Amino acid sequence: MVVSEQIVLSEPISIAHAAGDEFEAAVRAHARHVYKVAYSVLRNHHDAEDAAQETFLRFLKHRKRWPEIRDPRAWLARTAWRVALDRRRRDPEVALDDAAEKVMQLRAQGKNAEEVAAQSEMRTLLDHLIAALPRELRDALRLSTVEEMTSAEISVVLEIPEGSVRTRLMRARELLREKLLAVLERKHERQR
Amino acid sequence: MNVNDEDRFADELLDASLRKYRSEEPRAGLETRILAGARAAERAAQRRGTWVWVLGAAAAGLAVVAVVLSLPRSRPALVPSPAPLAATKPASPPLGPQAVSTVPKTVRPRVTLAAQRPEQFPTPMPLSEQERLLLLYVKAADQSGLAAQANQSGKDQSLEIPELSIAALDIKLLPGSINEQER
Repeated sequence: MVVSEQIVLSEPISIAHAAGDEFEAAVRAHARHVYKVAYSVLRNHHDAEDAAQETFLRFLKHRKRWPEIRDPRAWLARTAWRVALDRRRRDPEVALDDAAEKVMQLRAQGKNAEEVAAQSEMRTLLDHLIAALPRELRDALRLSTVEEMTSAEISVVLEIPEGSVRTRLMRARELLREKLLAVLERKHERQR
Repeated sequence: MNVNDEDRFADELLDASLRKYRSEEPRAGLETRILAGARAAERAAQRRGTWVWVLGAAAAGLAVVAVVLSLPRSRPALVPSPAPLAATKPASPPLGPQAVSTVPKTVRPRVTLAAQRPEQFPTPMPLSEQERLLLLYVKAADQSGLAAQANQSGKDQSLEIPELSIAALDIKLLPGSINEQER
């Protein structure tokens, strides 16, 4: 598998040679970042990779405008974000009660927060809680989950001031905490 | 479990969950797959471009053929115009009784040139077979011989007109006319 990929790489790219080198350099430098931005929205490896592919195809299509792009990393992140939003399907229905019940069971068994957080049920619960956030808070929070993405970069992608990004992140976290507490307490009271 | 424990656990759980929620690493070879995909897309675009050129050239050829076929012929087509309605004709002056006929007058369809009129009238036509033969004969024959032949034929036919003599007019007066009475 690896050998075949190396063979593909060794072939010259049919894209115009001058642009080809620049394009290949951009792919090698930013592919992971683009993928992670797409993944933060799509939460699926296959969909995120497709979105990354489409993002770089759009980049290639705009080759005449490359000199105007001051920060290719930011341009690619913004494009990946839009592509992922276009591709995102409706958030799946989550059996919230089942997930919350599982989390409570784990806690009753004496598991600590790290161990509970590692469970897929907790991930499902968090997915649901994030999806229920207002859109502007949800977007900022999802982008903040991308590693190495600063508030400044998030502000470029969302086209809002950097201060607004920080405010939204704080507000998103507060809302998530309230919702998590409400779910766990409700479940706890029912179990009594 | 008191409220403070619940709050602290919720905080810790949220922090830990958000850390785990971070984006995951892509599978190995992502860059290679993206480059290969870009190359394939580029080839597909080139193929599409080639087809567009081929189809465009074919369409242009068909258009040229259609234009050539639709050019007007040398002779304009004659199209009979519809007969004018009797009601639209201006009223003719009353005629004498002999001119009145019970048979309705037949109206001939007026023929108009549907196409553009030629600039030269009559329209130049190619020479007929006899005209071409005559032209060849005139060119081939000796000019002096033709003249002599014409003179000879003129003598043979004796077309000289004898001298004419016109008698003087003698107009007789009519009986009962004014001039007769004066005499």
